[in-house]
Amino acid sequence: MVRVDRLSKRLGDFELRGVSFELATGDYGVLLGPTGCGKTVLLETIAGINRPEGGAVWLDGQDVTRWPPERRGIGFVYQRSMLFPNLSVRDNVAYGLRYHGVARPDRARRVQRVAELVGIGRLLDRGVEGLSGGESQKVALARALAIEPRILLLDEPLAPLDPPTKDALCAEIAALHRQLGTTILHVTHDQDEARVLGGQIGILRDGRLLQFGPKDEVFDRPNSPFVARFVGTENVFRARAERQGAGLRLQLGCGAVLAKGGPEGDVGLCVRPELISIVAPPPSAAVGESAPPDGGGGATCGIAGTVDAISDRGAVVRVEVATGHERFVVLEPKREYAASGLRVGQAVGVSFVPEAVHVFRWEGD
Amino acid sequence: MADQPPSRKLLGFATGAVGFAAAEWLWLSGALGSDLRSLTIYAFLLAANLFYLYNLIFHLTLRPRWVRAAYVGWYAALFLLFVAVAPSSPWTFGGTHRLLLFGLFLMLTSGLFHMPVAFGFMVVLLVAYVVFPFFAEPTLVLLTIFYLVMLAELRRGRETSSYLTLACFALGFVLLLAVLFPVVNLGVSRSPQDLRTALLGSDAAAAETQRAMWTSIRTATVTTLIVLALGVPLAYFLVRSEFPGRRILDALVDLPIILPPPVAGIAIVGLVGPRQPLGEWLRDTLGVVLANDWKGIVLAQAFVSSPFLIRSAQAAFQAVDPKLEHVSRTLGARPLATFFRVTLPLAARGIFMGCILTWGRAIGEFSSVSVVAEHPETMPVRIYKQFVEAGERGQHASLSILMVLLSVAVFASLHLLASRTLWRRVRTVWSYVGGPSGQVE
Repeated sequence: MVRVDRLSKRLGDFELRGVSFELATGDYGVLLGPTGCGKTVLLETIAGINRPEGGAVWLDGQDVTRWPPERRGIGFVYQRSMLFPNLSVRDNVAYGLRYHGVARPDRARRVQRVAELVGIGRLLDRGVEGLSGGESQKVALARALAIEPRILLLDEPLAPLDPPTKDALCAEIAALHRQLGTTILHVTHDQDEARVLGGQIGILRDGRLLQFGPKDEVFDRPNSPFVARFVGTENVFRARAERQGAGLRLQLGCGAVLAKGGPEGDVGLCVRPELISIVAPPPSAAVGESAPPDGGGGATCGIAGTVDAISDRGAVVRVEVATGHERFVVLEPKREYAASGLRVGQAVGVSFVPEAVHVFRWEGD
Repeated sequence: MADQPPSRKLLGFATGAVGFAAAEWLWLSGALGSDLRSLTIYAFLLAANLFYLYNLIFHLTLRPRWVRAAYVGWYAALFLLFVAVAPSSPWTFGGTHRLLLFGLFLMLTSGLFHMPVAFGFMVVLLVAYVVFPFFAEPTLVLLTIFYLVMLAELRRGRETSSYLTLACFALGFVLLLAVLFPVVNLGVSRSPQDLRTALLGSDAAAAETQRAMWTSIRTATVTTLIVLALGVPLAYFLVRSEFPGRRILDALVDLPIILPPPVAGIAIVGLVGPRQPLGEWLRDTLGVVLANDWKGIVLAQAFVSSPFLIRSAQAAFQAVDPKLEHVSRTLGARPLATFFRVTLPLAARGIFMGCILTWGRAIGEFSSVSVVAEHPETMPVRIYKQFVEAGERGQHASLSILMVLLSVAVFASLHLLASRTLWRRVRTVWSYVGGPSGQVE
């Protein structure tokens, strides 16, 4: 278990401001944040490389805040794998063993085991200079795992890899986590990585942890416009909310939509783009009027607009629909898109169920 | 020539060999006698030429590496033989032995280049020997460098080798000229026999020279070791630390370079000289006397040469990513273990280069050393004294050449040692000495 309690650290221009979260043993935590949000500083502070100005780090119930890094038993993998260039792959992997009381005869066995686990068995006798990016990261991973760390910290380990290698290694890390049950804290700026790997997700911005919780909660119920946008919810709007029956009526510039519940007043709302569908022809209601008269469950909200841009994203097609004030982004499955025959400039409507609308209090941006 | 029938080739080879042999006999007979030594040289030369001709005619060029190496080695042996028998006088331009060396050089170089380049080189040789007869050797060396570099740059045919690059080289060449010309000119001003007499002769002066040489080598080596032991930690501290005033401390490292060396000597004498309180205390309590002692020389040399090692070590440590050290720490290594297993092996090559520079600066230091200690004499001090006291009859030129030879030999061998491939191996071994970790025995 790792618990970080109101951790703060100033390093150059950068500041970590009271970050707190907790990961249970065996959890996979992903901290998501844009470049320069302090992800590396946070990991280094947890590992003991930086001494925090305030707050505490707890490992398995022990306050390790004042411990030097070599006592903490934390595995660390940097973005650039940081293998020791003066050592062979084998000696890189074996590096930490002698400091963890592994007797000399056992070291070879332990190296072999972890190497096979990670899939670098055949690289052991090579130097580290000829390794590919993916191989280097695996060696770095093996080196960190060899000491059987209490927690493994991964600092954007997939960022420097090309897409196929990235996907492969991503899957391997997930498999390793299932197999070993090591607690992992992974930082990245890539929301897809977070979605694939993460059990717990945290969103970091400017040294502050904006939201931390189980993956579905963070992705589906972001607590601020920044989190909503950063996890890929592109439809984030500001609105005025008032109670209507059991639900909420949210007044947007281009009309009103309904939601199941949430705070009233000055709020933000977000709708994930894959939960919106495009209906053509536009709803019969006049532009700017949301349709359902009863406001009950199951009814859909519909808003009229025109298709503004279409771009191919592989499995889905990203369609932007401009209404009077807001811009809706819709991800249409390709098959449906092909059947619909949408084109730019066409008048359409966007519709979604009230359950798809998540409402949060609007605080800053 | 390649598609000629073998008989024609053999004929060509025979004609060439006879012609070469005749020409060489004519050329050598003027300079060498008919004693055994001269005949040996002649046989050597002839064999080398036959080898050269054979390869040129049957294989067109000296392309295979081993053929080239054999050819060069052969001629190098000949040079040495010549140097061994050359008389001490007359060793001026026009003296027979220098002409002989010229001839040898001509054959060596023409054999090493392919046709168009070899032709250009002939022009270089002629310019050197005809236009600047009295400075033929320095001119030859410099023109050779100029010609080969220009040629290589022009042939590279890339956008980077534009007129700008060439203009930069031409300007830089002026600087090279100012350094190399006097040195090469000095180098050929005394015959090898003069050098031998100066260093290995049986008179008192030669014994003094040997002593001075030994003192110089010993003090410079001790200085380097001391600066190594103290400068490396300082360099590491300066690279990894961050405190107000770090830049001032960093700038202070260069102080010895800025200070005039005599000032360094005077400052040292002013502190530990025989009549200074600290000097008296050292003598009375520890029995250590620094003035006119090799320990004082070491102090003066360390003063002037420390910046070189510190700067090199700083650059070397700067190149080691601190994240490597962080990883080592998280893997359980304490700071000291991390330093010796990761940081130092990675910086070792740069530090070694710094040692070479430091050694060179230390062994060459004159003014501060002469202020601190006139005795025991180091080579620079002895050279200066010879220059001032003995005038024309002095051996200062011979001694200077000896110093140049010593420094060049040490520099060349150490640079060879610092070659990357060799160093990588050393690094690996080093890490094993640090403890084979998980290595299957």
